[in-house]
Amino acid sequence: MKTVRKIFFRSFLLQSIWNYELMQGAGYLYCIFPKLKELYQSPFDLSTACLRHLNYFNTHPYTVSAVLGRNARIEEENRLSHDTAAAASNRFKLQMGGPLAALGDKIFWSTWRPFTGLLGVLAVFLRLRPGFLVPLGFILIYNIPVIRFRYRTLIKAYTGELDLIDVVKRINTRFINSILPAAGLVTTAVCLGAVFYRWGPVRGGLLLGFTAAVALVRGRYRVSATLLLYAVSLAVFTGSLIVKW
Amino acid sequence: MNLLTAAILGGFFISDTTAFGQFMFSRPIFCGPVIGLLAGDVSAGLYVGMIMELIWITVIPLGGAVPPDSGAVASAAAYISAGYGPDRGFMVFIILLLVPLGILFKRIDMLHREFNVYFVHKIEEKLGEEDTSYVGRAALYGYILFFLKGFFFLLIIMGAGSFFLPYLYGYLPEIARESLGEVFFVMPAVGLGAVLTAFTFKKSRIAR
Repeated sequence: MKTVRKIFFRSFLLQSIWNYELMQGAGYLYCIFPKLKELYQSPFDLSTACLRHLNYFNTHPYTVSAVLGRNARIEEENRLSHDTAAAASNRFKLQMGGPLAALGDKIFWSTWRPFTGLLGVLAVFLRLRPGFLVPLGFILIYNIPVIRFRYRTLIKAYTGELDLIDVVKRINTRFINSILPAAGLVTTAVCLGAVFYRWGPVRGGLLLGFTAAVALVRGRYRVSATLLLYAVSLAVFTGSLIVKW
Repeated sequence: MNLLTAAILGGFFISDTTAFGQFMFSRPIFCGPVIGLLAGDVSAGLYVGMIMELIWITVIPLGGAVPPDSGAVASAAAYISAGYGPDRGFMVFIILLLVPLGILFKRIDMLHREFNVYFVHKIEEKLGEEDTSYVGRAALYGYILFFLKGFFFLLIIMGAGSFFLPYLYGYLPEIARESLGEVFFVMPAVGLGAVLTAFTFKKSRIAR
């Protein structure tokens, strides 16, 4: 179990050697290394085991915990032969990497992170004082469930309490698909409301109008956020110049 | 001294995007205010961080794709505008000028990731010689490289930016500066609109 904890801390550096050839592959070897070191004493065996892990691998940096935990177990079970261990590990890594990446992207990158970021934005709009509470609160709210998830998934995948198919099944789809987005919409609405209150109806109305326009454009076409930023800024800048003239 | 501290701290925050942890230190809403606090004006950092967070709120790093680095831009912008004082027009000016640098940083990042293949070959070579200690060192060197990249990028942008940009802004006519100040109030629209789209027009959902 001590080794698994080491793997947990190493998993933070998973992408430190990210490259276009193996993607997270080399970092993955770095993460699983303590387990290999525990299993193989002779330098020859250890380097052979390392070389088998030096291959293409890519997934989400949080859900990698599940792969690492289960993979550590697989290595233990197949410690007697490099061939069977290589076959089992590599097949497992290739099978789980993709689906877990999609899951992580969906849950963390496209739902949880925008939602918590929006809470931070709301705190700025509502003028939460003292100001340093905003970044502090954001980092705590975001990380507490995430670190818990990363740690527990690793331990449970290792002990075998967690079947990886189960992870997918047990995800609270309602929370991710409906509740969080709805809460995000409410937060956006409160932000807009706060703007009306603070900056007056003209500026609030302008913001509301442009927000609706951006939402419509983004819903229909793939336009980059940067381009929209310049388009909106240019429009307002010119408009304001004309009015002030 | 302050510049150096800000660049070191910022370099650490940016490295969080890829190399270390993904604790979201690299999100503008975090690194903006923190760097702003360091540079003496937390509220400038908060506003810059809030706007930048909104611009890139729905942009996500899918697979091997590298999005423009929001943390690098937010840290630099927060430092420069916190040093200038509370002026909405200046914040907008800084944001509009620095956003393209996020794309420049992304290009540098892609070159860096191509370079990292070097470590893979080196690990392979060392393992061939039965030297396993290099695996750990490679991760450390890899991290240091990610850190240094962000550190030097910020050092240059923060240093040059806080020196030249206030002058440049001073040359603008009064009416242009006031109009830039008006843009400030509408900038959040880009992000709020994107959030509305992302949370309503769902294209992908987790199948039950």
